[in-house]
Amino acid sequence: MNKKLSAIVLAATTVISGVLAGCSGTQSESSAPTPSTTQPSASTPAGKTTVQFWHSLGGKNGEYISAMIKRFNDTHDNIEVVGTFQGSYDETVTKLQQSIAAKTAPDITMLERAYVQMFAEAEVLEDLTPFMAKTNTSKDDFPEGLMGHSVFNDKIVSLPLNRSTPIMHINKTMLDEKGLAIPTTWEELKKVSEALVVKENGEVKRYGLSMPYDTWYPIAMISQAGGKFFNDDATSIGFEKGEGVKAFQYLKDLQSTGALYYPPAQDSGNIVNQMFTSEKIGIMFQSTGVMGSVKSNAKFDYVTAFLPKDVAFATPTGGANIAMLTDSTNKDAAWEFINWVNTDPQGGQQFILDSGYLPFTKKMVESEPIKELWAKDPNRKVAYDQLQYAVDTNKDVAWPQIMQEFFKAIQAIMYDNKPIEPALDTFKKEAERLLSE
Amino acid sequence: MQLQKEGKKQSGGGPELSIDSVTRTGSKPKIASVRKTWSMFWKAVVLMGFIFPFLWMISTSLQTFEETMKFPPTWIPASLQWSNFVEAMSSGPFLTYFKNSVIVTTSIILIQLAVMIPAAYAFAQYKFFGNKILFGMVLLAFMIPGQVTFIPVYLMLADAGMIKSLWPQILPFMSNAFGIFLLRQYFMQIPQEIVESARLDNASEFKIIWKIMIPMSMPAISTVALFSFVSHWNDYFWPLVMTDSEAVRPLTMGIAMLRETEGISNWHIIMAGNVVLVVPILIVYLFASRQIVKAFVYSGIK
Amino acid sequence: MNNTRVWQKLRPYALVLPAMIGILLFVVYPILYLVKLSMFKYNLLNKDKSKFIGADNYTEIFSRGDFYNALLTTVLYTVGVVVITMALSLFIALWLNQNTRFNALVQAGIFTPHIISIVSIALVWMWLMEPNYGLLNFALKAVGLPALPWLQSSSTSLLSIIIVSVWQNVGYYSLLIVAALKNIPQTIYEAAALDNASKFKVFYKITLPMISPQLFFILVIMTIGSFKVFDTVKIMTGGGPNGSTTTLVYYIYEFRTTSIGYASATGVVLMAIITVLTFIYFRLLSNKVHYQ
Repeated sequence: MNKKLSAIVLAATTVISGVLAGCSGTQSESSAPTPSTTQPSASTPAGKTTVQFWHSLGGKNGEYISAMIKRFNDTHDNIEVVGTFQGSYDETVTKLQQSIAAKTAPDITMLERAYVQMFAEAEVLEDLTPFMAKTNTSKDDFPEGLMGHSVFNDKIVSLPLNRSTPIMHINKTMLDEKGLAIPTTWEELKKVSEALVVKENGEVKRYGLSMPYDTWYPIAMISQAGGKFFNDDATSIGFEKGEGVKAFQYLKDLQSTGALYYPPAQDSGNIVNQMFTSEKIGIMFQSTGVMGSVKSNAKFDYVTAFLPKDVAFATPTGGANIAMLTDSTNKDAAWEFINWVNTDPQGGQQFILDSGYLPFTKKMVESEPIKELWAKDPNRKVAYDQLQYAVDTNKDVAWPQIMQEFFKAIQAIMYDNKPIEPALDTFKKEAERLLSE
Repeated sequence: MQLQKEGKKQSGGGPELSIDSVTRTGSKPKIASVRKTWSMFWKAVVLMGFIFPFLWMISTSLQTFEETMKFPPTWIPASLQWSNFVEAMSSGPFLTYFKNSVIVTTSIILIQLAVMIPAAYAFAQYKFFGNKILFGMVLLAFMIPGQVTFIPVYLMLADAGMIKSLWPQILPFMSNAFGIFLLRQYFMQIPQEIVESARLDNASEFKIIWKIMIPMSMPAISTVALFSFVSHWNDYFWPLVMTDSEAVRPLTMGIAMLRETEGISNWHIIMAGNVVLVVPILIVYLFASRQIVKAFVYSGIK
Repeated sequence: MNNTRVWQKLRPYALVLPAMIGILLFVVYPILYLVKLSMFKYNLLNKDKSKFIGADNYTEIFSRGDFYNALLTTVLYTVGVVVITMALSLFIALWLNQNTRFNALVQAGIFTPHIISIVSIALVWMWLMEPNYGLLNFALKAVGLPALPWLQSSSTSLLSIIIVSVWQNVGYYSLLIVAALKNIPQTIYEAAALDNASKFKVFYKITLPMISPQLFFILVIMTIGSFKVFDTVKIMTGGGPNGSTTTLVYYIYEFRTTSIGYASATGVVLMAIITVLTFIYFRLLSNKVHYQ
């Protein structure tokens, strides 16, 4: 009886280790069932510096950035950059916070621009000034509109990478069918979106306008209406003269007629992209970063235009910067990568050509391939030109917390039809509390 | 009504036919058989409700994108799109994910057994000072959600330099509170005379555990191991917060990330990845469902 | 001789030691750490910038509307899951209790979701509940009912999540009940039959009391489990829309980085709630339960 039992246990163990060996067959050295053997970084050959780089790009853009990393590794024998996708911008930030506290953070990371200040304030981002001096680069090499989040207490704590602005993506074929012109003001946009709606048996089959669930678009509209997100002293919100109410009222009016489709919060970006390419919406506000993939999926005349104006044209910027962490032990190698991304035509420039993000150095803007691209695809130029109206008014160390509260206001208004003014008042109170801390 | 009827009938247990014949002799056998078919039909409907989502998953995983976007839905794809699987698997190092899942799960089970059996034995066999407090701690472990405590655990394991290994997914589960609880119950049922007579024969405690306790409680032990396997093979939260690199991520993470890497509307790709995660378990279940069901039922019997 | 004595005293401690190390390291220590963090405005990135604020985090918890919202959501979820699962699994168990092959097959089928990863289940159900192309809405429309927004509206999102949870677990709990039913001694029913007791009475007076220990066990396990719900919320709704599925654990998770001190304090509150709940259960119900 006992013998039988131990035989079974033994057999089970053998089977299990057999399975282990079998499935790790391709990776010769890690076939032992000890957990700690799977460390790629530990097994790099001597003399090669490994630079850990975390990013937040999935899908097509993820492929483009992996290709860029590969181009770097192929041309640099002494450095190996390991790119790791960490999920969305927010999830990457979470991972970073956790890992910085634990001292397991990467050497460089992609950082959504609005989070830069929070990290800079905690003094965990390396000042890049000395590195830039060594390689003869300076702030002036970058377009001014993209540098809004780079300097903190006179230190350069991050540089632009995959930067974007929200832009209007248009299914021109659909507009042409109805004889509509591309809207340039809120008023026109309202008419056009309403005209595009198709209803069958009281059910909306086609919407006019959509936009992802994000703070970005309401912020853009608040600035278009003449407000600022925070007031100049950063003590409270800067849209108390009704700009916020106006922006949300506009959206609610459109939503009530079916002209606006406001997507569910989860995966909203992907949902609106998909609806746009499958022609269920005619116009979407969305990042410039999706232009590459939308273009490859759209089977219609696809154009882009500035976000329409109310009292003024205005757009926030978005996307992410690249930053080096103070705790990195491979700073020189890390900088070599960042510098390569900024200057080599095979670096960031190629990534920009692939993806649709904004060219982020002046050199890139003037380079032949970008000029060619702009000649061939004027949509791309529109996004860059819109930068002249770039204004970021949601800069504050407390932004990440305030953003959470702003999301709650957006949800209350857009999903649960809560009255706009009280919802914004609640938000204002929370914002003031967080700003005063 | 149905409910009470069945409540009575279940008393039949094994010799169910005889009871049926007792209660229904002479009454209308036709109605009985109609009722039986009717009840079979409803049971089949219910069964479908639980199996169908998996069939639907498999069907979707073999459709084209256009087919998934049709309304009414496509039931059976026009041609099988195996390329969906290729695309799903190329979104990350799936071989590594798979290997990690296997290593993590096996290690957890082995370590848990080694830790749990002696502890359960001690709680079952001895009255010692503080045993109530210690056992209370075991119950505490059962109640506290990992979502509340993961940050201190992460920091601690990082301090120990383990974050880049698989240990953070293994070590925190070394003490299986549920298992200790269950095994203790089981050990207490083993007749004390057997243990006593072994002690008279001068058997060591180790020998008693190895030669008496383990063999006699094999059903309970395999239940616990199975529970462990299922819950850790399927675990999502812990790897989500403990892993920073592809090299240590398990299969569940790879699948969950498909949504972000492929985009939420590419259901055919997401479902293809899902099939990869689910099918191994389904196959095992298909062949061993009787044993597995039995094992899970043990957990509820005191 | 004395050595053996000492060893005999120490032996149980030695046997439980490894388990206790695990629990101390991964349960007790994190709880103490949590309690400590809960009294700080803690800066995870730079410890030196953390501030001791005493009980301020706790005052904040009880002054915030969204905490009560999360608490209410969790309670609704728990009650929903526990009541529905309990009723359904009891019904299914009684229905499938006879020892036939077909019943065994149905039982095994209903049990299947329990061994599948919640990631897969959540993804499959998200696809089924997709408002435009999903199968559920197709089915609703096919029988002439209006389509539902499922996860995408705050009026149906919590219910959707409850459905998924019930679907995943009902098979397991009905198996447990079936096992309990089979353990009831035949003779009791025979005696009842002799007394000509009504079927309802038999169920209420015999079946139910006889399986009450198992029902109690299920109740406790399910309540604690439901209070800790996270995965479905994280994958399927992200707590929304408009906080309608933000359960306590997800609420804590949301604050884990921006305000870790506050998140920790909420964690402590959650632990207190679970402990009290368990205590109440044992107090109120354990003497009503019939042990054999």
